[in-house]
Amino acid sequence: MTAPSGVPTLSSKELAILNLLAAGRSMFGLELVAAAKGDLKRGTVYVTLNRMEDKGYVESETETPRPGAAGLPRRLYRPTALGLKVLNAWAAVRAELSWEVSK
Amino acid sequence: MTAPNYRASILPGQRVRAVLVWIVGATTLCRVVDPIVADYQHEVGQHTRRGSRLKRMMLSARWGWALVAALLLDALTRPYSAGERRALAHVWKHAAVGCGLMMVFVMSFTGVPLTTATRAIEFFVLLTPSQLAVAIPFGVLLGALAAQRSFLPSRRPVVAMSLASAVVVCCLVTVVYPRANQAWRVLLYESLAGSKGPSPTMGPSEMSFSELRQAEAATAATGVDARMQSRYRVERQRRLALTATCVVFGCVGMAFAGTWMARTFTRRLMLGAGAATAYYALSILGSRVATYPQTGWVAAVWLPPMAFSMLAMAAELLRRRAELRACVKDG
Repeated sequence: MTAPSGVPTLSSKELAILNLLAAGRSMFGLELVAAAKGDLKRGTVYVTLNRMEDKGYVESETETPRPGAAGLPRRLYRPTALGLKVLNAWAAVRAELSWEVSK
Repeated sequence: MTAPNYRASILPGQRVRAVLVWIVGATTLCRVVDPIVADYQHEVGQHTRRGSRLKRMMLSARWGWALVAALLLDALTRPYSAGERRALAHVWKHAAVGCGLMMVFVMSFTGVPLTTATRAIEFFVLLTPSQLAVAIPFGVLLGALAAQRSFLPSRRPVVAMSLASAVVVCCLVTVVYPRANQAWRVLLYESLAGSKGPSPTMGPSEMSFSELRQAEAATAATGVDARMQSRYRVERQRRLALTATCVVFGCVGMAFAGTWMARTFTRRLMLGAGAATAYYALSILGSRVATYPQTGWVAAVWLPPMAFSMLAMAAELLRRRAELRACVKDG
């Protein structure tokens, strides 16, 4: 979902997830929690990822089941072009604002 | 050939998922439950190879909490789709009609002494909280029954309505209703006596939760009137049970919505009125029985919510089984 004016929004959790995914490797929810070092919790990461998927920032697919592996297949997340664009725009705006503030 | 001692093992999280299949919708199952269970199974798998039993238990607890938090967050923060918004408006409209009808019905039995127009308005205003505490759950039932399955994309509108109504009823019965009841009694006393006199003593229905607790403790300390002590205790439980009624009626409504019994407005009204009458009759009976010290008070007060919850669960299971059979038949 975007803001009423049509401008894409990015919460702090979404930013943390996009930053981790922008490294280029697809990640599982649990991997994101481990990599965030306390910024993301198990209870919130999946809901945030779903919201980001609705916004079009990330896309997901179920992992290919390995032969002999038991259990449900995990879900792999990776950023979309829009997600990366929003992340870059956010980083640019932040850099600009921090320069303005430090003047 | 299986070995004699072989026992098929169930993967961790599989039982929880099997239960949740019945409770949550397909979207929530696919988007929230499955990724959590999959990651949980993976992590437990890693710890089974290296890790103590205690560590695995801690891990299960953490994932259990994560699942609860994720389900709650998802239900609260996921934006409503256009279909869900339409369904919500539809359900609320029917709930308002049901609540209004119940209010008119209950108010017509109050027998208020209509001396002057101002006095009559005062009486009605003071009676409104207690009438609403009965009318709102009925409204929820009617609203939930109106949720046609083909029309309703998910259960969130009904769940949201039930929970919001439960909060309103909780505020009514714990804060507003006791005070309004006492004011109503004072007004009635004045109307009958024709002049202002000493305020009538507060009964259990006019006390707040803390006052009920204090009165119960005081009665218990004297040890004289065991029945009065039971009445204070029962009143507290009765109010909590009344709050739970909204959720129970929501479940009953959801279970019967879309069946032939709830297809038209008249049928829904008849079904709702029948269920509400049975429920409230049982509640009154339970509260009366519970005031006798020798009876199990909790069981008596909570009997109607428990019985109706089981009824809703049975109806839901039967409906799902029928749907599954139809699905298998159609190939």
